[in-house]
Amino acid sequence: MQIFETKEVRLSFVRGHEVLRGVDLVVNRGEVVVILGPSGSGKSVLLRCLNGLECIDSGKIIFEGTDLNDTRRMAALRRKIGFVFQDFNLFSHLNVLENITLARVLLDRISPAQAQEEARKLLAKFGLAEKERAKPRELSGGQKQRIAILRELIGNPDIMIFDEPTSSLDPTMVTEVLGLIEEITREKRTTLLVTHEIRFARRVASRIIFMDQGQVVANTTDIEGFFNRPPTDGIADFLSHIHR
Amino acid sequence: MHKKPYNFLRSILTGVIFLGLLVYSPRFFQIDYNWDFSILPGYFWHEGPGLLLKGLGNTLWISVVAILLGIAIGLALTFGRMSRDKILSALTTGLIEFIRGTPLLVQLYIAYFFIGTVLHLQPITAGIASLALFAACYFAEIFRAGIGGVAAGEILAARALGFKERQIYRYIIFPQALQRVLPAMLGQFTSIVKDSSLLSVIAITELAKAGREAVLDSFKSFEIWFTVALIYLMLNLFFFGVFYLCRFLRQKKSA
Repeated sequence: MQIFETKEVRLSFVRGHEVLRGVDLVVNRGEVVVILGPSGSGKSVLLRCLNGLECIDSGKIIFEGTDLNDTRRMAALRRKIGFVFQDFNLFSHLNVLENITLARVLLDRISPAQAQEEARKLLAKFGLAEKERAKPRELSGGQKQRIAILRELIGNPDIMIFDEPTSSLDPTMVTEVLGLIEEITREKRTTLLVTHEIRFARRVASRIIFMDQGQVVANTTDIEGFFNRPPTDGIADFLSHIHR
Repeated sequence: MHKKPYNFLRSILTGVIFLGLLVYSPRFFQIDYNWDFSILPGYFWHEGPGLLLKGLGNTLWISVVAILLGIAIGLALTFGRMSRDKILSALTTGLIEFIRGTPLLVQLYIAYFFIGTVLHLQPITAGIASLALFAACYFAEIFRAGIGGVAAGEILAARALGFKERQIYRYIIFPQALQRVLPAMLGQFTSIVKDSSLLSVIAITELAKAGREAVLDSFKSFEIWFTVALIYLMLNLFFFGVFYLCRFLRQKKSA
């Protein structure tokens, strides 16, 4: 069953320079889709379009059967899409527990006590229980990103979208964040991930999409084939640079 | 190394000021003037509230009304200036810059003599409206800076979580902006209290005008003006006191 489908999605920020040039893409339930590609290829912009954070110029984005262009219920649909940013974007005036439970209480309308109970379970599960009263400024980068992931995960979204979740982290903290993402993928939750962590992508992906200059250049479920026999010279060149 | 000449000049300047004070201070006590503070209580209470107490009361309520109106209008101006509607934004920006770029005294005269005449406004209405609008334009810029200081990423994250714009303002932007703008707002409160003295020029008997009338009545200008100055100072210290008490209680609560 399809969760996301994009048809001929086009977007330009400056007239005459398209960032997305007719992107066609399907994400099926339970898939772990990793989007690779050089910087500026439109990966992150595409993810933002999927969550309605950017408005497309033309084309269609269909989420669980609903055309995102037509809907006035964008805010409600976003509750079904967990979105993790590169820069964490935790609410700086709230502590960890409040960060995780705010949307749950306000938008999902569950009691604060129940939301806190859920949050505490998640925090304990991922070894962050002692941080529940900490403010974001008191956390390491890795902890911030893990909290940002839990903030999305607690709403039990139908898909988790990660936009380069480890790019702002120093190497020592990358592992802890990737560990959490891998655990999420193991729970068969549909995941869409933009990353430059090639080894990680190879390990968790059920589908690889390669983007270049605003277009999908490769879209395959043959993960090993993609890495062992890159479909184009450009991809081979990109992979060799990343591996280096 | 670079700081030395500056420090030297500063020392010289401080020395000259102190020397001046030392030389001229005896003159303050040598003037031919009979200090008489015994006239003061009568201006606070004499078979009912006296001139200064009435003036103080007027200054207080005028300031409070101007502050409350100023905050409300200031918020509206903030949203007007930040609006995506270019015409609304340009109009609001023009108004804010006009008010901030002209003296309150001139605005008071315009409000009283021109707008007041056209709309048949009472002096007190014209005065409070001027003071409130003047304060509102400064509040608007303070609010705009506070809102602009909230990280764009946090707003984006809230949107991605499914918050509606109203909820983003209520739960993400305002709590953070409020923390940032409070010190600047406190400064604006004290300015409004002091600026309210300008309303005396359009025949409103607030504290400064009451002081002037008390001087004309008693000829004790030094005593009266020192007292008036002290009252303004105490009013502003009261504002500071309330602010720091609130901050202390807030910190205690969050600790």
